[in-house]
Amino acid sequence: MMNIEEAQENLRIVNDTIKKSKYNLFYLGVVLLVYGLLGEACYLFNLLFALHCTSETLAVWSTSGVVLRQVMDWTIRILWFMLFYQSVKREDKGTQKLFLMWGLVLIVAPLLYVSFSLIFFGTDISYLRDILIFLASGICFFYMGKALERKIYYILAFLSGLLTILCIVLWCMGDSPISLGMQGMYVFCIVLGGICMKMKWNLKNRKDQ
Amino acid sequence: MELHEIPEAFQSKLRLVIISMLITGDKTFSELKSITKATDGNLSVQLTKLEEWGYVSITKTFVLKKSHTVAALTERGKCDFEAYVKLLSDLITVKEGE
Repeated sequence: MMNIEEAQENLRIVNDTIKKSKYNLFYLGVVLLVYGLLGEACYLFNLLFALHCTSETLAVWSTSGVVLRQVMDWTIRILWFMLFYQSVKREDKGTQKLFLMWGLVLIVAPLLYVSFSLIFFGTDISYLRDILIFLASGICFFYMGKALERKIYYILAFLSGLLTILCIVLWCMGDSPISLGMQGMYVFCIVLGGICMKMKWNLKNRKDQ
Repeated sequence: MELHEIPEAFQSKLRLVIISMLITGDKTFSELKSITKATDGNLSVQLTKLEEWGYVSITKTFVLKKSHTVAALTERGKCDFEAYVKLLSDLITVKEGE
């Protein structure tokens, strides 16, 4: 016959396991989706104003756009750090891997770009940023595919690889892509955010049934 | 569910952990392994037992020529697990009330 200590111990095992195995995917999905959509909105916003404004208004809006982008980029990095810290605290290995990969894209790639371009070229080189972002995204998607065993990440890794090559080709030809890397990153964020939210949605539906 | 009716599925800690993990959604073999910290062989044996008892359904597919095993909790597994957790909670409440 089961005694109270055994019952308490088993209930604790159940609660701890449920806590550990729940995904943080919904929050990750929301963060990525909002980040991607805001990033795209900023570009469209700048483009629209570039077409319809006088040079003085354009200068004001373009400065606001840059400031907004900086605020957004740092917000996403802080959010990333908070979510990563939470997954470490919960010993959730799967989510930790996911966040580490995204940390590579959100923090390491832009920092590398700034350092490399300033050291080697003395100025910002957009190609280098684009190449680094796509390369980091490709590596990250590949490892996410391996960790989560989902085909979609391999497809995204392949696309990132193609875009990296495209950027290198454009760079060699001396052509200027309009911040292809940042645009691509925002689109990737929207796609990944959608996938994460859909996975969470499926989970919720199954629970409700 | 009564105390003397507790199914064998819940009488091993590893099986209890596996079922608790599956209540939050389907899990791949590697996800189960990372939380249970069990060996491949032991995990495989426990999953087979749970499948035989009708608590878990196992799907094996191939992703990029690599075997991909996904375990899911069946309706029976879910009902029995909920009954088991209720039994534990009731037992603790009664004993604490005495």
